[in-house]
Amino acid sequence: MSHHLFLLSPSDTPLYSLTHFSTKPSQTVPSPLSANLPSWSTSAFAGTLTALSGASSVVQASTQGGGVRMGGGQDRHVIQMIANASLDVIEEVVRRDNGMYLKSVDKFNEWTVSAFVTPGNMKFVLLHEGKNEEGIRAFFTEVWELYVKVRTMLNPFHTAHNAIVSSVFDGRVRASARKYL
Amino acid sequence: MAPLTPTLPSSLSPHICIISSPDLADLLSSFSLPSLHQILQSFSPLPQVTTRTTSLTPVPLTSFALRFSDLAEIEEGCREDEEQRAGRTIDWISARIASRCAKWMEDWERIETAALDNDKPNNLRTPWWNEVRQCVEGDHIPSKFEGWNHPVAILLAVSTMLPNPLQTLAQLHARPLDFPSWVDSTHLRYSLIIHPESSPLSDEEANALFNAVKKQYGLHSYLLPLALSSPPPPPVPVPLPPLRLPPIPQSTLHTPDPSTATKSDSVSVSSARPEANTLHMSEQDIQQTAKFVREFVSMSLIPWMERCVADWNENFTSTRRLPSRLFSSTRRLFGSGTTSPAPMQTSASSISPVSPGIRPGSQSLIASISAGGRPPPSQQRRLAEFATILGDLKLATNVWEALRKDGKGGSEMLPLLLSPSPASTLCVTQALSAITSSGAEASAWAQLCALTYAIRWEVSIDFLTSPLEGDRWLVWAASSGEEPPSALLLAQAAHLSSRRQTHRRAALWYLFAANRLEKSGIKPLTLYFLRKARELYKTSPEKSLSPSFWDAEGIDMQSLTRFDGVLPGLDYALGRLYYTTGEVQRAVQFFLSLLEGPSGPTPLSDDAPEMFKDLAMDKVFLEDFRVAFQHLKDISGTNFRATDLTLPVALFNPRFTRVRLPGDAVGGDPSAWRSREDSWTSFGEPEAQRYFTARGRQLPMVKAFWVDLVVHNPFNSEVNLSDLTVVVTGLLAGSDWAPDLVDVEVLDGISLDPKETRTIPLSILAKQPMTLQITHVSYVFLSLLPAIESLVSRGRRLQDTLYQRQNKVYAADIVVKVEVEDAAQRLSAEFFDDDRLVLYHGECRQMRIWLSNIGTQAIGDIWLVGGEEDEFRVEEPGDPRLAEAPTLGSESFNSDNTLLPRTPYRIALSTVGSWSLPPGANFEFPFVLHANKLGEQELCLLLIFREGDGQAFHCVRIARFFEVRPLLTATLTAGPGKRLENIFTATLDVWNISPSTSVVLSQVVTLSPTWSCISLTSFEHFQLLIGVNTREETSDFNDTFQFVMGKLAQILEGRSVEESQPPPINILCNYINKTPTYSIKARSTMSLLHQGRRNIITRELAARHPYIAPALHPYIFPLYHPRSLDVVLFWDIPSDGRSGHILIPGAILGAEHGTLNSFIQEAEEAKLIRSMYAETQRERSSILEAIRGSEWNAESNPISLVTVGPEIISHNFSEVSCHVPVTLMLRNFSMTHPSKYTLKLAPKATPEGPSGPKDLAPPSWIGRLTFRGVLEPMQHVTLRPTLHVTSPDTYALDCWQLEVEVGQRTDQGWRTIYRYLEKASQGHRPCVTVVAMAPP
Repeated sequence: MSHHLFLLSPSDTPLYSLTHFSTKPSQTVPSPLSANLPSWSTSAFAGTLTALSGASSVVQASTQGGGVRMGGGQDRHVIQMIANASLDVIEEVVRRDNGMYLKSVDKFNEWTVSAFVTPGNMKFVLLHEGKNEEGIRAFFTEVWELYVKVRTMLNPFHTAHNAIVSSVFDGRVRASARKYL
Repeated sequence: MAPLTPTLPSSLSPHICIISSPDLADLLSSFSLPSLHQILQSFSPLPQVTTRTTSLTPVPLTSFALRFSDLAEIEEGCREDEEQRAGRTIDWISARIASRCAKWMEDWERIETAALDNDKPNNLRTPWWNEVRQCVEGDHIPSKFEGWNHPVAILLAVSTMLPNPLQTLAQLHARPLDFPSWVDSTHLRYSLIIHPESSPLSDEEANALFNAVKKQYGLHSYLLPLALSSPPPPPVPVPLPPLRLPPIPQSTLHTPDPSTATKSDSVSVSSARPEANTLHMSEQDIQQTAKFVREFVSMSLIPWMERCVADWNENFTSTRRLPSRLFSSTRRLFGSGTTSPAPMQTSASSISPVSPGIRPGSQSLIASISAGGRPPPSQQRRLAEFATILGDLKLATNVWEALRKDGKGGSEMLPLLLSPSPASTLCVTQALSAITSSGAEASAWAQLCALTYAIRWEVSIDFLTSPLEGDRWLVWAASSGEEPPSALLLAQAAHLSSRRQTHRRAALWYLFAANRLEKSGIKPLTLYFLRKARELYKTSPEKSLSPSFWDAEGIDMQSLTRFDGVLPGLDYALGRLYYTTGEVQRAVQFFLSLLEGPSGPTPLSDDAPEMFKDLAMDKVFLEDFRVAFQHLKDISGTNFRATDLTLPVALFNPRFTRVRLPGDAVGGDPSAWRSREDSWTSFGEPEAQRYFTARGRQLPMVKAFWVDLVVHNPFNSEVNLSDLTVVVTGLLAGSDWAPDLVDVEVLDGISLDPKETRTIPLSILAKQPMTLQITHVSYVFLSLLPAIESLVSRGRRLQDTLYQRQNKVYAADIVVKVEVEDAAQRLSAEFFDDDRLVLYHGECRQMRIWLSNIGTQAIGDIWLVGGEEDEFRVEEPGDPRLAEAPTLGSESFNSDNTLLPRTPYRIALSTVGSWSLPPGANFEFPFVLHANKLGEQELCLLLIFREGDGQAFHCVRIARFFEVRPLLTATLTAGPGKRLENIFTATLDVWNISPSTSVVLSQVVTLSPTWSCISLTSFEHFQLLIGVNTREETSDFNDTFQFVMGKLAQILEGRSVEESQPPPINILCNYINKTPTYSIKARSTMSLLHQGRRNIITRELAARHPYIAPALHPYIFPLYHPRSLDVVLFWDIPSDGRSGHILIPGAILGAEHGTLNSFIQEAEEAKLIRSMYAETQRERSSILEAIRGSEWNAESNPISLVTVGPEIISHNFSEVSCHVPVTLMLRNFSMTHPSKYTLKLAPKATPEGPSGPKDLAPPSWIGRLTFRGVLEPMQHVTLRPTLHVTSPDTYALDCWQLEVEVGQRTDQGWRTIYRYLEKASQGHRPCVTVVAMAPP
């Protein structure tokens, strides 16, 4: 079971992203609609043009995927599109909900999107497959604390436009993901 | 509350099946008319129909749709398996979409462009969605699960063309309905007699016939007189007939093969469907028919349906009453079957005017229909449907709700009837989950059913104004279906989303739609959806953020960073699709846009499965780009032009582009060369500045130079570049620029590893003098795509004015420029020997530089420019290094006493016998290098030359490595003289620190403006004692002190320092050893010593006064302090033939009295100009402290006491007590001020007296114990107190106290400046030893 975390600035610029593969048993969402959905297959987009055109002189690319496979057989850009699409709902929910943890705001096929919006309007978006509300709440709270403390808010050189490249932050978020997700 | 007038889809309308006699069909076809159901369908919907509810409230309906179809067709359709038909329907829809989408795309793009041009939103329905909707709406075959398509009425039609229409009608009435058992048999039977004018029956006969029919079959009959003129009248446009699934071909009825069926269907349908439907009917006939249809509806159909509703409602309400519900609940609890309303057969028989022969089940003749035994739709459901059709929405909602609660469907209809609320969404999910949970997992029927529901919702509810998220409903309905209809559901959801301004979600759904549609091979639409996804993704929603959010960081609002993987993912899919559809040009453009390179942040760590890490993609992108581009080239042939294809990523970094000239290769640190160029530029020669000020790099045109290009491969894959070259433009004096004036190297086959950064040199040779500008680099990317990049880099950000600081202003762009000059003036310079040069510290090594004029013109002037710290001296003729030393042991010379660096040295060409160096001539000149610093070093010399006055300067570089090893180390210490004749005594200690070399110290020379030195001992044990006295012809050096004081006062006052030089000074040289060999006054030695001392002083000043600019030091401080004493140690290594000298800067001797204190005090007490910067304050106080502690402000006690003697005295204590006279000398070391002194001798050692060896006995003085006096500058006095000794011992002589008052005599008398109290020092204790002498 994989999780995808995105930290987005108030202008929706992705500042940090993390893919976490959880070993914990997943608790599937009891939704009759999404329960039977197969994962997306992108086979139509696979293979290189070399194979399509039949050219033999060009060496076949060794990565036959046409993309780095992420969790759930999704292409990277599809995962990012889902995170991007969820922003519409997040903005809508933020307007009527005062809390920071917005719980599950949206569902796209097998992906549930949970969100956390900080008082500074940073959006933490997590794509996950199972249901783990309390774990995600704890994870988000810890990521928020890390975001504030470790490298970002207390770092005078960090702005809301710079990507977070701190390895300390990265390491701690990973540890937090291992702990809660 | 139900909405007042819901717009029901046309599929939710009464379905009327028509069975006509064969003669009627013949009649209609003979008049070019379609079959009867098609004619009647043209009159649907009926406008302005009024129905009544169960409570008899009239409901005005603005339009009332009807569906007419051929009974035989329906009967045939009912026989087909529902799942098979659903599969066929989906295939049929898919085929229709596939065949039409190309045309739609053209039209749609035109519409969108027009809408864009007019700046109006395009609110039209998309044609593909229209198509799907019509196909689904057109379905009229009854379903087992709902009653909408079950016939409500059977219209039996005959014509009066036959002799006995009544009999024909009877036959039709008698015809059994070939419906399966699950088809509802409750329907109205209606007889229609069409009476054409050409009928053999007259109107009266026809009326008689009609009356007979009415009598036999009831009032549900109608006589329709038609003119049916021949030839047919002009066609009248009528609405298009609904799209119907073509019937299954008979041959494939039992062995269905959907693919072939679809194929034939699609072809037939696509070719048969007319663009506009027409009817060849006269106006009169149309009116007659319309009258019939209205009468049929208002007089028969609606009353009949209302009656059904009324009756069924009775049953419904009776079952819903409390006892009944309780009863039914009890029955359910106790396991009995579900309650059902009364069998409709009874009610049907009571309602239907005709009942024989149409009992359900009895007509189930076709065994192949597997649904035998399945009951028809329940009466409740029919009630709900009828009520919905009739507009009795209150009742309909109730019944649907009841059905939903009983789990018998109905949830799909409630969203249409209920006002928007969360309950609607609940109903939708319930309806859709009912389909998927019915066991038919993702079956064709389930897909079609979901599609049908979705279309009903989409048609009936205006999702754009409704708060319901209808787009989500469509997505749920699309579920996991892989077929084109499901994809189009997603696309419609995306369309709705984008119109609801949720662009990001719309982009995702367009992408999903494209992904699904791509599998069906419908490429035009897939491409359109992908393009839409891309376009919507790129539209960023408006953010309500403060403008400061952007301004604070100086970031452009438009330059947003988005998800890094999305656009490449979409572009890649688009590129591949365009490639496969043959649009290679566009494919190549998309592939090219993928090569933008990673714009996102760098990956955090290598082992992380990070989103930003995308190692595999670059290789795939590059490979596909290569293939597509090659293909494009192949198919374009000679017409191929890649002008509109530009590489979106820059590989070359213009900021690091450098020009390398041939002379640069001689070595040397670039900063060293720059400092020499600077010192030449600041050289006072009027035209000298012209050479380096422009910073243009000049080189003779016969030599090639190199451009170092820095290239970085941003891809994670290997790339190769070919035909790499630079684009140069030249400025020529007097002629036009032509490219062939320059030879530029072209490199081929450059292969760059992933992420590699490399410097690539390209040689350029200019054939004429010119100014070359290197503007661009051009190459062929992957040996396919020609690319050109600018090598012009942006100038620095300007911060000089307020405007510049508040805005972003940059200096002019930086272009790489090279000045190529005529090769007429060229000089070759080389060192005479190339051996490895190892020198000892202080060694003077004679070296030679060989110069040759290799140009075509004579060279008149040559300057040699060295580094400021380089110690060398060009030897001139008549300049012997070993000048004879003076026999008197001393000599003096005048020094300019300046710290200014050496100016460039002009080499005298007189040695070659002429005033200039002609072409081809050469000569060498010697110079002496003094190794002043230890370690590996490089001597970098710049030779500037020109033909003569007013001519251009040229330059050549020459550099030489050498190593300096340590040899000697020496220290010089000085203190008050121990003897009367010496004011000071200096001690010179020398150690040989080289491991194996024996050194001969050949000569020691002291240099001082004030002091004269003599040797007190011979050089023994590497120690030499030197006696220091004032020189005879000494001066007070008042001018030098005044100069420094004046300059330091300027600094303290914060004024700018005048650029004036210190007054010259006379230096006395004392040759310490008896047989001097080298004269200091030899020009070479004097120059080297000057340079050496300058280096030492400059370094000291830089360390001591860091806040005073080094450039100002020469104008503040002199080279020699007037009181300084230096020692020069000359050495020889006879075995190696080496010799050299070491300059040992000594102490500053003599007492000073804080000459600058008054200035410093003034500066401290002056009203401080407060600076807002703490740094400025700190800097000022640092300057003050540095000056206070400098040697120019030294302040010390000028008088010191020296015990002269005696040391040992023998005395015969048996006779008298011993009185030892002790000689004490007081000397005033001040050269300027007199001092008063008071010396007090302590009679006995005080407890607080100096501690030392306890074995020394305390002295006991007798006689005068206090001595007072005044000492003039440099004066000394000898005091002779007497020590009373009673026993032999060693007596300490340090029990005294000296009070000193430094003062000056003024008109008013003595004025004390400083007071000092001095006691004997704790170190060396002077003593006198009295030895007992044996009595004679």
